[in-house]
Amino acid sequence: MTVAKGLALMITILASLTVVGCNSSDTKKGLLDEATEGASQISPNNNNESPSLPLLTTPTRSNSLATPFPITIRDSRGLDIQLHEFPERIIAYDSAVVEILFAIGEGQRIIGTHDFVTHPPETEDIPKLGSAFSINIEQIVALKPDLVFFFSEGFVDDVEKTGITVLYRKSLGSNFREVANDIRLWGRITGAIERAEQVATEFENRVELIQSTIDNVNIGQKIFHDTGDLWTPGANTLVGEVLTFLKLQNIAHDIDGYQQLSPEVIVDRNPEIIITPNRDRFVDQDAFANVNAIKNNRVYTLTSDGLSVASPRFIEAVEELARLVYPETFR
Amino acid sequence: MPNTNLEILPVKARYPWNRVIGGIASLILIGFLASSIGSVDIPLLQSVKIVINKLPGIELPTSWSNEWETILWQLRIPRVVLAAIVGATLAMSGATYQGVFRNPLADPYLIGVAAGAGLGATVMLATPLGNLMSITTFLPIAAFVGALLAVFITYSVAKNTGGLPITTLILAGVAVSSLMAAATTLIMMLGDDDLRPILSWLLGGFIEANWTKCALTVIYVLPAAALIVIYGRVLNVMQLEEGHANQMGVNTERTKFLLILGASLATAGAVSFSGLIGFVGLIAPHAVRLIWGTDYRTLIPMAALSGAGILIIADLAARTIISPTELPVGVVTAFFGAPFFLYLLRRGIRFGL
Repeated sequence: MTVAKGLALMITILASLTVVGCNSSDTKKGLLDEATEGASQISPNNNNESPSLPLLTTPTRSNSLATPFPITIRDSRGLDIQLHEFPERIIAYDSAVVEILFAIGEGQRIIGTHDFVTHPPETEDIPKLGSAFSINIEQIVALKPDLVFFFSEGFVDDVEKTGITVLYRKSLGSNFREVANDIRLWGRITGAIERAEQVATEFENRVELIQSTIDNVNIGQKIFHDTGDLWTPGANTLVGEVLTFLKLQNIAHDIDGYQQLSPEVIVDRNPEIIITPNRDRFVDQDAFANVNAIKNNRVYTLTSDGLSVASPRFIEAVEELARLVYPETFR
Repeated sequence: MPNTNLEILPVKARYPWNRVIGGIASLILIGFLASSIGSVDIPLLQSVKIVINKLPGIELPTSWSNEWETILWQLRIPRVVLAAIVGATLAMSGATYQGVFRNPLADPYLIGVAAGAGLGATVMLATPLGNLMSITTFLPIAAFVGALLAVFITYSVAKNTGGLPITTLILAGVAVSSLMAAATTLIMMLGDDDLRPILSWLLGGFIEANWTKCALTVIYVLPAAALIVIYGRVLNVMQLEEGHANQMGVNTERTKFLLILGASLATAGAVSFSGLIGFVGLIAPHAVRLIWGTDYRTLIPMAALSGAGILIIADLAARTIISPTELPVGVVTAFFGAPFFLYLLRRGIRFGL
């Protein structure tokens, strides 16, 4: 029974960590392929040459009045989900999707979401229907949604059985540039194609701007990105890729996904920069006194929690990180 | 005096100091070996030199890097020391509960004490109460209150006329543990704060170990240990029928109360700085019983030394198996402890008492 209790505890903990992860949308690894596959399905004509073109499965232009129905979306099981009209009532069990819908001006379609959604402030009044790991199916049915979105497969069948249209797409694996295509996807689903294109293009332009600004910077500064209690993003994570994109050397490069790094390794690898929500964990600690980041006073806390959600806000957090890391280059 | 006590209390037997000294020596050796292994490789010879250099009055020519010294002296050794203190405490408490309840399967984890301490700590961490008081100072006290609450519920449920049946105690412990765990989860869910500190605390482990934590743990554990050592010798008598013990002039109820108090305070102190770690309080006393018999005068100190050694090794496994990342140490102890528990159950729970 103790085993059972231990198990229950572990499950609770894992679930909660994963919930944090689901906000962060990036603990899952190796999903890049599917995300990309889905993306190319959405945007067959997007071959990097015409980023301003609206991305439709039909040749219809976004300003045309012709309806693109049925809208076909490839889900993460490889099934094609068809929508015969724009869903008016959406339940989205995903922070990123909620933020994307608000960013493209379609937030009013959301009639329910999960307990951990806090952004934007308008979500406060949206009914919270459990976590993505313990959903309230009765409530979902009672709300009569046109579309329910999940980022994990757990309840997809259960909800589909009730006759409700379900879209299941796994969280982005590691390519944060895919956020732009997710934005376009939701533009297509809600009909807000032009607005979504604007938001997506802005996202891409801001990525490009950072990239060109640090074009001449040499690769190398060692960084430790603590998300709390030394849990850190390694390879195959959105944040891990952001660090690489910013030409930083992640001292946790050899771990996969999110894991808790040994403090010994932090001392040994001696990062020049530490990002952490909890400065006190590092500053004024005997163990870290000789770490370069502490000696040179380069321990930072991000004001934005955007790196944990693959939404338009993500780029703001990347910009903040870039400013902290390259204070001279960015003003 | 009734004859029955003779086989447990050899009259005039000399206290087996050689065992205790041997145990301490082995523990120091285990500690040294564990300190020389970690995510970062430091040659054993260098580790020894760094430690010797720390001894007062000795200056060795420095042949090691600053990083190594920091890793060893500020991270690894405090961690080994904290694991030793917590292991010793849990084993000592386990042996005490087993003696008081006359039940070989009593363990801080199994009878709900650890879960109660967890609930107390969660109340501190997750409710506005925690903002009013200093968390480091009062966390052990909150845990202590929770631990006592749990042990007295378990005890009063399981107690029936004439004794404390083994299965009833464990079943009551399961129920109390579940109740405490449910209350913990409820508080966590109701509080809208960041759950991460509570979760990582509940998971247990020594990743946050430093010298301050070692010192704080000792402050709580030492008085409890004194209480247990002073009254622990009475446990031998208490293994007889309570009637006999009373005849021999032992105030059973008062002694029981003090011992439970001591064991619960020690558990709460340990749990506060390490989180919930199961089975050490079960494995260590039983190993000692198997090897050296059931005399509580030696059982308690030897169980403490074994518990220290066991938890040092378990933590070594936790921090090296998947290096450079870590496993929760509670997972490691459960992996070895749960099968051991089942083995004890299967043996018919006959030896040891």
